[in-house]
Amino acid sequence: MARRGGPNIPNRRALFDYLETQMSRAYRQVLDVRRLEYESTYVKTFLLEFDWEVARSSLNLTRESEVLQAALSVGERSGAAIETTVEDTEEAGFYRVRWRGGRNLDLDLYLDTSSDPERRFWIAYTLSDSREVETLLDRLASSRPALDRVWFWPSFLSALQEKGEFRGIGLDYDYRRFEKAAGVNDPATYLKMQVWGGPESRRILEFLDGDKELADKAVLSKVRLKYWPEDRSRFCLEDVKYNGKFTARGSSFDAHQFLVVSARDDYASRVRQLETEYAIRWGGGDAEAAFEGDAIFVVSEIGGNWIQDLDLFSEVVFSGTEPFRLWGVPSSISGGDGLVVRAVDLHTGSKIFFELYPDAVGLYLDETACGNTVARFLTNVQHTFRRQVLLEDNSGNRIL
Amino acid sequence: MATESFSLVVANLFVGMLKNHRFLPAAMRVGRLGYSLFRLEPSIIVTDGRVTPDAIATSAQQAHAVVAEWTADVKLQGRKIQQLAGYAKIDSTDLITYGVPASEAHAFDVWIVVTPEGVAPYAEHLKEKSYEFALATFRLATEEKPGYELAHARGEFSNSELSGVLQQTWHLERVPRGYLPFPLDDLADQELAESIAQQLVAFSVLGTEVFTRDDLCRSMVPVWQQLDLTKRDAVARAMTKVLSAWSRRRRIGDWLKRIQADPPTWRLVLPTGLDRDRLRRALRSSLSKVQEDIAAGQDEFPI
Repeated sequence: MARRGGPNIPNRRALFDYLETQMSRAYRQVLDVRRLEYESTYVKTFLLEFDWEVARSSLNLTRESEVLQAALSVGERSGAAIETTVEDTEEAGFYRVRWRGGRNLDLDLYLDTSSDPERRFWIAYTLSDSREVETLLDRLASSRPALDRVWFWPSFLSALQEKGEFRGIGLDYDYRRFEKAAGVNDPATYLKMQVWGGPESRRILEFLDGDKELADKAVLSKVRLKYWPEDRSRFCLEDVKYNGKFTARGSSFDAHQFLVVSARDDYASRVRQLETEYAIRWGGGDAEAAFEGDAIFVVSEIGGNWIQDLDLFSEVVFSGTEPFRLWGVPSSISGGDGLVVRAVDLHTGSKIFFELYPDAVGLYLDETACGNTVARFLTNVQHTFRRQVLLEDNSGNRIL
Repeated sequence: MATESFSLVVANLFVGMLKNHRFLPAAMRVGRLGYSLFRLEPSIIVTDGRVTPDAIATSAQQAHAVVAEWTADVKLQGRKIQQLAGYAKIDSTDLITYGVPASEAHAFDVWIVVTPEGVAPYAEHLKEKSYEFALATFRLATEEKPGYELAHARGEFSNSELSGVLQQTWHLERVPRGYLPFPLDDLADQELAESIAQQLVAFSVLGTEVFTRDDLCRSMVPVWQQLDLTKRDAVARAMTKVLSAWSRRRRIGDWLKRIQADPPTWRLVLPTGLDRDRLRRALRSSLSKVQEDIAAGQDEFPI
């Protein structure tokens, strides 16, 4: 896409038309020869979250194009310089991003920063190599504040899948990060599996239920669905991963776009709800309440303890590294069985107070805290530490 | 493991009771009686002066208010005696003038929470002065004696529902800790040192290079605007003391430098992402040393 001499894409509609052509061509190719080089021309779409205020402040820049250029610049990879170009289009808030250099790195991304009314949740489209783009996005997110992936928890993915026809699932877990911190030699507690098929493939979950240990760990990481908003002949076959990556083929780009926008809006609404209802705000003005917001809790779905070693858990989670991106120094509670951590979210610089007990982790969000951080914390706990946890409010109502 | 701050734990317990926090016994959650926090650190004008209790909670449902004060001071003298005398002067009109709805201010009680060591002198003083305050003791958890205890000591609440909750003894395994991040009264070094480390990391993420003591206080104290000048000064002094202790650590001092005395101003020099990583590692590894430095009194008061 947009290779030198490639298509002229002046606006989003032109992009959508172009992607529809590419998407249906790829689908026909698969139908004809039963083979497509790994996702080579599938349409890949990423949902991203971006905090403009944090970006402007941390980069000390004000102009939008400068902020984007700095936020999306990679610098170098494996010692080779990577040139990053952010080009305007004729449509405000719609950009073409190019990364060139390194070992024949040649990636293009079309970035829609404008269709979310708050411009916070971006949609990024690409036909470039999926693994390269993901690696680069993860690197951008981990190396500086402001940019983050989105984090779909299992029930969100299931609900998304129910919008269409079931075509398969992906399950995974990877506990090696915690095993390594615990000093395990050659840690190997991980699994990744994908089962593609019709509704009967859902029964793999029932088989897993027969193995308690596996069922306790394997978490929904990807869903595949066939989706059509109106006319069944105009559809997309969509893989949706828990980190907000959509991979599409089929006969209708519009179907793909409709699904992506619908997921973005649902997700944005849940994230904003976390911020408006639970972030702790101390008032004090004449018309303000003295105190709003409340603690939220990660607890076990089945009750009881879910963290056996609080020191180990906090050492990994608050180390300031991926995937949690939280920094903090745990301290013990005198005479108690818990720890408290005054943590900082390295994505936004906001503060979150954690209290950790074997059966519950309480989160107190600072008023500037980002709801995406909560989703990141929960989903990564599920994928890397313990699947059977959920987020509840103070009254025990499930939030995520 | 450093000692917890009495003031911090009781403040969080008080807010937790009002918010019906799930770590507390259901019967202790006074939010179900309609109580909510009206103000933290209110400054109320009374006859001949002004009083600043720790909090006011009110309930429209109970048509009642609670003026709460918690203190780790064991000795009753000077300012504390004046403070109690000031609470005795509060009447409904003062609360209404402060802004408490009239329907919730006509009936109110003053609730004093002290340490187990402080209960005898306080009880004696209240009796001697005929102050009709409710008095309770709160015991912090220790290694030797885990769990917390809130126990009624003397006096009565005028609201029967509330007296049913607070005129008894509660044994608590846990107290919520995150509503207020650090105390505003006994400015315990441990919490403050941790909170300042947290704020420095937040500044580093946000690209805040130069900050004054006021910037620091505003960023860290959620109710800074509500504090009276005396308390602000105390908090600001404590901030300066702890921040100076941080900047004197060799590895931290490379990045954190005091650049101006008046107003106290610091510069956080973090040119690269690698520096930010190193700062975070240095803050983590130096925290206990900074706490020890402060506790050992090796610090100086620059203001």
